[in-house]
Amino acid sequence: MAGGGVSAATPAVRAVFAALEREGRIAANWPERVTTALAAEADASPWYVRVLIGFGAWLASLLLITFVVSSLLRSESAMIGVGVVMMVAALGVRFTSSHDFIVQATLAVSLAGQALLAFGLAKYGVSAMLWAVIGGQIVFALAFPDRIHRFLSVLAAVSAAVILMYYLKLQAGIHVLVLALAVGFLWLQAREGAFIARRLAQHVRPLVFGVLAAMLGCVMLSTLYVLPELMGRGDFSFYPRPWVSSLGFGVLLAWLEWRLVNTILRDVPVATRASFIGASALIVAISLPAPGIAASLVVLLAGVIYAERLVVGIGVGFFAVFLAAYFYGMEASLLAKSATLTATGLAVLALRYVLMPRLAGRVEGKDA
Amino acid sequence: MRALALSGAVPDHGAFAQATSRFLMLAGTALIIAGVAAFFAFNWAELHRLAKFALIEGGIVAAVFLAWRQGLDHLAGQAALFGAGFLTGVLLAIYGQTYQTGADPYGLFLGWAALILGWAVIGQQAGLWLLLAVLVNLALVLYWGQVLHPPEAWIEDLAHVFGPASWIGYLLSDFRLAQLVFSLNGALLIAWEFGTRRGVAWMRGRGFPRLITLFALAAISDAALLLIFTSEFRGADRLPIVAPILFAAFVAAALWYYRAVERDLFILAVALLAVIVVVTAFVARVLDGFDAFLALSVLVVAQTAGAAAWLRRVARSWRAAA
Repeated sequence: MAGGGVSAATPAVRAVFAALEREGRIAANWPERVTTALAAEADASPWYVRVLIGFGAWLASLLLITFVVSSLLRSESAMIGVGVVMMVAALGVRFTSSHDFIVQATLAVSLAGQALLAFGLAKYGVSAMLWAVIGGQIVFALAFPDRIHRFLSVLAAVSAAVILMYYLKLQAGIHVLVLALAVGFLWLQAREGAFIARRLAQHVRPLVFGVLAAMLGCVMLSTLYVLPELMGRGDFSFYPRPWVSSLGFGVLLAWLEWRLVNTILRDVPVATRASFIGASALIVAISLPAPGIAASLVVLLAGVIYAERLVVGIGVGFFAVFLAAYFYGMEASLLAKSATLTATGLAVLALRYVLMPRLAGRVEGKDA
Repeated sequence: MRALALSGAVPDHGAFAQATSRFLMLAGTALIIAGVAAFFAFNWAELHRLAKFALIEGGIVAAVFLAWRQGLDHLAGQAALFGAGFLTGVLLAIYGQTYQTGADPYGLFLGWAALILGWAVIGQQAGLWLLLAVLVNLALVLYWGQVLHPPEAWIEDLAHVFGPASWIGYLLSDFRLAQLVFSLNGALLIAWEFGTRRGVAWMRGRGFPRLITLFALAAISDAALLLIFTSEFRGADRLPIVAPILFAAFVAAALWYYRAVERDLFILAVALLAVIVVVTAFVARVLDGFDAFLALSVLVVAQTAGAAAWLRRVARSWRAAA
């Protein structure tokens, strides 16, 4: 029975499901379900095709907005009305069809409608508009049955939240947003399997990557510097007290490492496990002014624990990008940057030379 | 999690230790290099010129020595040779800065390319060839702007304010230069694909041809867009139609080659994106009035939907044939 009808599944996939069935973790009708799931996954477009679709939708919505604003609308109230009608119509039509043209058209109409609604709401004040954008995008991220739309909605909601914080001069709270996004990302990653089992893969994947991209984007703000004089405030800082974010990421890193030492490294001696966690705490402590270093470690480790190669790649890529941006940023002096980067690098290498022989020795001992 | 463990997707203890060791080595080295660079940048103005040269030349010698010791088949050896190639340019820039040679910047990039050509030949790695391709492109663009067709002084002043990217962008607004850049990258792409078809092992990676295709498509799309938006269609005696012909020929060849011969969905997607941009621009130029925006919006939706459907069909046919 195992494997019967699972034409798309590779032998490795069959073996995994057969083993899960033997362990009593899944029902015996898994071949049909796996076939359906693999067929849906095989038909999913690669990222660059999704970028093409996203670009097309963005361009089409821009042209549509220009048409509506220039030919039909003369007032903000009309913009709000037409925007809402466009959004609701796009949502309704999208539920009825998955034809490529409909997918494209509803994406473009929805984005155009949202932009019109935002323009119209601006007459009630910037804060009201931004709150409406945040609420609307959260609803659309959950409700609109399209991966690209969900991803874009998450980014738009977080962008509006960030702008609102700076508008209200609450940028000191950026850490709350960043760490909430980090916790959200880890929660979604941890629950991803359960969501997929409930056939919600279409929902959860764009949300995972949307939240991850938004979180990393927010952390990049810590590398920006604006002259306080330009902001009219002598004490203005774009990302005040970055060490708060670093500490938060340090806690999340410790939690991930706790999971790691209880799974992949469970046969390692307690002293080695403790020194592993202690050494990474030291790295976080040294790199407190540069929260991107701890953030990339969190992403990297999450990718390893949840077996997501793309997330591992994003973690490594973000580490390099953050390093370059931090190097060129103007907030800290070159001497301060030099001290932070060199000390962190030395701590990382020390960790490798102290810890790796113990880990490797355990492997050799096991092999022997 | 149990399924991931059974499938081997979650690394075991040994694989985790190996990957962690490699990551910590690379991350630690990168952080220290960045820290040391920041320290020298902090003291750069006070450093004696001989100390500056000694630093860079010492770096080049160390990188070449490392490449020799590790071997050019090893990742560390390849990275070291690439580092030596990069530092060569830094050395030339510091030489020009220290002795105020008065040479045009295109000479820096051309000299840099000439000096690392030998390493690129023996190195047999895409990274060095990509660096070489970028340098030759920059040398061509700057030679055009500094020797062949220098713009008026106020444009140069503007470029000094907005940086070198705006200067290069301005130069590429001459469709003759855009056509030359396209020809250069088209030739590089053909040479690379020829090597791939001949079974040259180090040319199997798809990164280099994808990036060079991006350069070529961007240049020829730029030339076609310039023609669309700047030419007088009606009443013109002679239209410079070379760019649209090159654009159409390149896109058609790419769509055929990367579908039927060297399967590459990325390049097919990029080629179709270029088609959407150029066709939409042409229709925008032809149509008049605000109603045109609605027609253009529908046109973009139709083109994108058609492109996505075709790409999915191609991917499906490849999977079925595999």
